[in-house]
Amino acid sequence: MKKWLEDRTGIKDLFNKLMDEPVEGGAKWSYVFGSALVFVFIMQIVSGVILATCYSASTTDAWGSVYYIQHKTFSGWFVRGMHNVGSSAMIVLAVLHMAQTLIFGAYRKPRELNWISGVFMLFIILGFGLTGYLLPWDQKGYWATQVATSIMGLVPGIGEFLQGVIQGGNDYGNLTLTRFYSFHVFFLPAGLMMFMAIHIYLFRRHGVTPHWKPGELELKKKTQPFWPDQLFKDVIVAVIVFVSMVAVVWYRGGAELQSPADPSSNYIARPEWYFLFLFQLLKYFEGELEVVGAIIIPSIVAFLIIALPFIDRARDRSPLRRLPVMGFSGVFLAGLISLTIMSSISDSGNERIIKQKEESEKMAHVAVELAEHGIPPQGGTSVFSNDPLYSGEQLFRQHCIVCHSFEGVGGNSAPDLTAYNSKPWLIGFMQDPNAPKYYGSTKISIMPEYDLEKEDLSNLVEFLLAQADQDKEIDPDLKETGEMILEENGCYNCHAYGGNGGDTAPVLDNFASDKWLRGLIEDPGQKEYFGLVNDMPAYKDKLSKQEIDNIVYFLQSLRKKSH
Amino acid sequence: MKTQSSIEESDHRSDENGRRNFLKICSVVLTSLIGIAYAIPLIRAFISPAMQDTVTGASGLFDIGNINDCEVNVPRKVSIKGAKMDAWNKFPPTALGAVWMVMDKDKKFTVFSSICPHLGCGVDWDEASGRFVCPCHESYFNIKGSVLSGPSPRKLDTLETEIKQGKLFVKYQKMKLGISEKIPV
Repeated sequence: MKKWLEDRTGIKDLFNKLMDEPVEGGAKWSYVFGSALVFVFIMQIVSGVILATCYSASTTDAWGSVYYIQHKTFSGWFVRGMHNVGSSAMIVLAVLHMAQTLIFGAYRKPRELNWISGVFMLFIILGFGLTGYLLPWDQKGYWATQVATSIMGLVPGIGEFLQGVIQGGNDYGNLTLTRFYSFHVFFLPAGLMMFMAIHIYLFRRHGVTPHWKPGELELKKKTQPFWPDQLFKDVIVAVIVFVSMVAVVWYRGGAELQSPADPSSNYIARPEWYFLFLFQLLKYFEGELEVVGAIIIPSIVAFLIIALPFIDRARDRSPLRRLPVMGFSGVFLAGLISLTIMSSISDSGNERIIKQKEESEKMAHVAVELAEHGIPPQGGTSVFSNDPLYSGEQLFRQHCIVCHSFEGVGGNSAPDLTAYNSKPWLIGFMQDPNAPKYYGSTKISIMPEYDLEKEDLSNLVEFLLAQADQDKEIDPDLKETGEMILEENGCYNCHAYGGNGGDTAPVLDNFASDKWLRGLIEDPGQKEYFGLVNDMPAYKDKLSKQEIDNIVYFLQSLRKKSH
Repeated sequence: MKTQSSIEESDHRSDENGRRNFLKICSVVLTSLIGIAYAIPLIRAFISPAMQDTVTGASGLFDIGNINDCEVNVPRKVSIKGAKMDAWNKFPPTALGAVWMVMDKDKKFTVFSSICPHLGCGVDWDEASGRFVCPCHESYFNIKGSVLSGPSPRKLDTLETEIKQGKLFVKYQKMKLGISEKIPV
């Protein structure tokens, strides 16, 4: 069987050829970073393919599908977490790999192209990070990526065109996602694999760059085969990398998913940690100079990195003989690190940012809770607007508590709406309608204080509360009692009920029902409500019908809760 | 001298081989362990839709109209509308499928799924010949749903019905295709 397969495929032969590479000077721990990168890349491919089985690249579906991966599939949160932390691992390992190359002088003649292909791969890895960040279409990715594509727009001459090509048109939308997705899963992997093939081929052609001290003879003597001597070390490192990645994912509970991208919000855009230095750099260039920090400096640095093998003219490979290169690289790395640290310090010291971060964490949490009931086809953000309770409260806080007070906050020129139209609220109201908590600070002062018998008061309130339930027939006994109380106390002088009564005070039919409240909010100046004494603005042109319904829903839910 | 050194060399070589074999085994074992550890969550995530209800809402009782609207032996097509959960999405009521309702002369109702049991095309009523016909592979059914000719492996699928307050309700469900028994999906 083995021989049959070998005769036809030569698979063992191929394996031997690939694996029996002589490592001059012997296997070393310092050579492990390249294969560690290959290892993480393979893990990224596998987890990426699995994520792609559930991901949907459209502005209405992206957030929902990632929410589904994160919260509904088995282990989806873990797979996504590994994919997310894998991107950081790639960056860390790539930097270590480059540092090792720098110290050993492995970029020097004849390995210039090894270096250059490696630098291109670093850029591709950064491209993976950038494109992947947007795909969940959450607040974080949406706003941070805007910064990146806007920077592309600054490129002199072709900027606008370039931005249009990358983001797929004049603004963020479906095409931005389909493109970023395509870049992330087709263009960039293809590019990375191509350069990886070149890189490994060139590496095999030139062999490892051993330590600079031992002479050639000594190196030859110590030569070991790649398999298993070096590969064993590589495997150990792979285990360490894998276990650390799992630990990070476990500790952080997987990757973060912020609330759905909302173009109307003022979310604080922050890129992934490995882009923070670029982000910080932007802060130092104001106005017209923006392009210097955003494009010119990064381009010059990128060019210098690529050109390093041609810049370094030292005669010896020993780092001590290449002090200028070592020094510059050290300063450059220190610069990157300090920019990154400065960025995070300035954020962690800013109270406004900390508060906004907490706020967005809360929003993310609410979004996930609301998504539990299914996400409307309009997309992620509609979980908020379609949830009457959530949207009702937002609208209420935005529009109503300017004048009304509510649970200890808000204005004081209109009645307190805490537990509005609940039993205690109504009892208090009957006892003193002109107290500051009720209509004391409005134009309305016509309603007298009623000193009702305890039983009558309770019956009246019950009667009024029964009006709120539109769909249920009111109990005839209660109706009779109520009408009698209205009659005895002269309520009909101003209020109307069942077609009788005055029209200078709100109608009591269906009092505090959804319909009644809706009408009141739409136009409180109507005769059925406050008429001429009304102070409250009409909302029928300011808010949509749905929005008013949501406010009503919110008020009613509070009323029901207080029962 | 010479023999001594060659013995030493071969000792050394077999030591080396032993060491390398050990490294080989360790490498293979460790790599496999990583592979297994990683494969478990990946496979779980991959197969998870097969073990969950990803599309729901297309079941339960659906109101398909007034019983008085039906004429004897004239099949009427009614679309089934319902809100649907599709993985992360919740859709407002949309068409989930269609049924044919038939009333015989004893005012008994039969409701057929409009899905052809053969391969799932939508069955139509041919007024002229008084037969149900599947437009894809020319299966013909009589008004009772029995196969007259064509490749369909079974009669049209009848659905459970219920009459409440003059309205006909149907328990809409999809059946497995291409087999001779009627089995819900």
